[in-house]
Amino acid sequence: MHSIDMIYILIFCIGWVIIGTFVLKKYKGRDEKPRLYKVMIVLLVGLFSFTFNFNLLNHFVSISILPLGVWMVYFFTRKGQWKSYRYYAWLGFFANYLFMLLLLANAGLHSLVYPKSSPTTFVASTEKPYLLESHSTAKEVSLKDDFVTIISTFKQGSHDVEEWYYVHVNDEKMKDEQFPYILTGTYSKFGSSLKPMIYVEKSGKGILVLTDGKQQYFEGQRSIFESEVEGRE
Amino acid sequence: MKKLKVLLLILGAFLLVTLAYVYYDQSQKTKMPTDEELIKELSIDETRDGVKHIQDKVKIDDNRLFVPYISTKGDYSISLWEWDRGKWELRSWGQKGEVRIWKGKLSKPSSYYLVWNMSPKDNIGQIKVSLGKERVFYVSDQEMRYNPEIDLSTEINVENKTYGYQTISEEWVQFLTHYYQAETAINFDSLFNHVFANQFIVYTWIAKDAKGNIILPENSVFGNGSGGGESVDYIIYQSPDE
Repeated sequence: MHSIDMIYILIFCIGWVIIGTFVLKKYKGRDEKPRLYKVMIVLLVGLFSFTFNFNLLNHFVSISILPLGVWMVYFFTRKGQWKSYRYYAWLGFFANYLFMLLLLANAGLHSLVYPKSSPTTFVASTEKPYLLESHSTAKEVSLKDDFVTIISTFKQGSHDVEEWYYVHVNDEKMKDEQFPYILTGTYSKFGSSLKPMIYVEKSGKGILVLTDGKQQYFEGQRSIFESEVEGRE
Repeated sequence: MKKLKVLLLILGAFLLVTLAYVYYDQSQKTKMPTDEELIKELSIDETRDGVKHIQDKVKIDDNRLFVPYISTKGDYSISLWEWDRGKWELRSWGQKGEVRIWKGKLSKPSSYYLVWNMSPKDNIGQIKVSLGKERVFYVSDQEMRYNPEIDLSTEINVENKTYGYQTISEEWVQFLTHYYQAETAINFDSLFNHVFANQFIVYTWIAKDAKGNIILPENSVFGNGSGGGESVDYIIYQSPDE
């Protein structure tokens, strides 16, 4: 359930409603009507195409080039029939472009509905939450019961990557790690289908979230750990 | 109509052949290969020493067969077989059976197994296997990134038998699953993504005797090996003085 991408489903439905409208408009305006199920088959076969895939600004784009499905319909229909099916076959082919555009819009819409600047996008609900000690210097701590609520009060903090790196690297004796835990067993907001990696700061007062290869840092006043760990800040 | 009939006939025949093939493939798969078959296959490559004795044949899952054996030179060797289109293929081989990771499905870390076969002369009591990732930061016009240092170790008891296998620890599964999902922005080409994400992870191991003292397992390390590709990850032996 938690991997459902609601925006994607919505976009998908919108796409088919648009195509359906075109089909019905054409279909009703005709005197000589082919069977509706045949129209559907022709439409679906028309979708079939040779595509060219590429990566546009970190988005997967797939452009249809050769209308293979349209050719198949042309080949397998009897002589007189091609004329009445032609429209639907090509509609199927152009539906590829419609979906391509809609999927591009999807990316923008997704970040509007599930903003990356809000911690609740990434930590919304739980199922057996568990703190993984991912570094040898991690202390044994447990999560507060209401840690999700605490995280929801976190704000985007200063993402001082250099500081985190050098503060521990330069000091030979102190081989601490700023983020020695990983939070598991939590879900991102319903319908977002985001699967983030959540590192937890040693003080319990900050989380570093990695998703789709991008990183966000959130911090707050209260720790999500049961007993406060004495921070060395 | 004639065209349609021909098309249906072709489709039907195709379906039948496919079904027959799948049935044949499945029935062959359940049959364990004989020692002779395995030895024959292992002897094809002449750079390998011969097989003195096959120790065991373990079905790890439907498609994977783990065969530890002793070579004519007395090495405790390892061979990993995968079912591929109708036959068991030798996927990876190791003259010395140093511990390594064998992946079933790349995107599913719960299918990853540790496999090993180590010489009894070394008196290894336990091995400690670590998953490590270096601390890194970078800053560019678009983004800032900080990757925390990761250090996850498991200890495995290897006293009873020279060889063994077990799934990677639940902590590794959790970490790798989250890491692969979060690191790979687009599912453009999952193998490429896997290779990309994997290059930052380093696996190491050390050996200890039954009392927990670190030892050098000289008869079990630094062997030759071949094969594996993306489905086998080698684990670097970390000598005690490092």
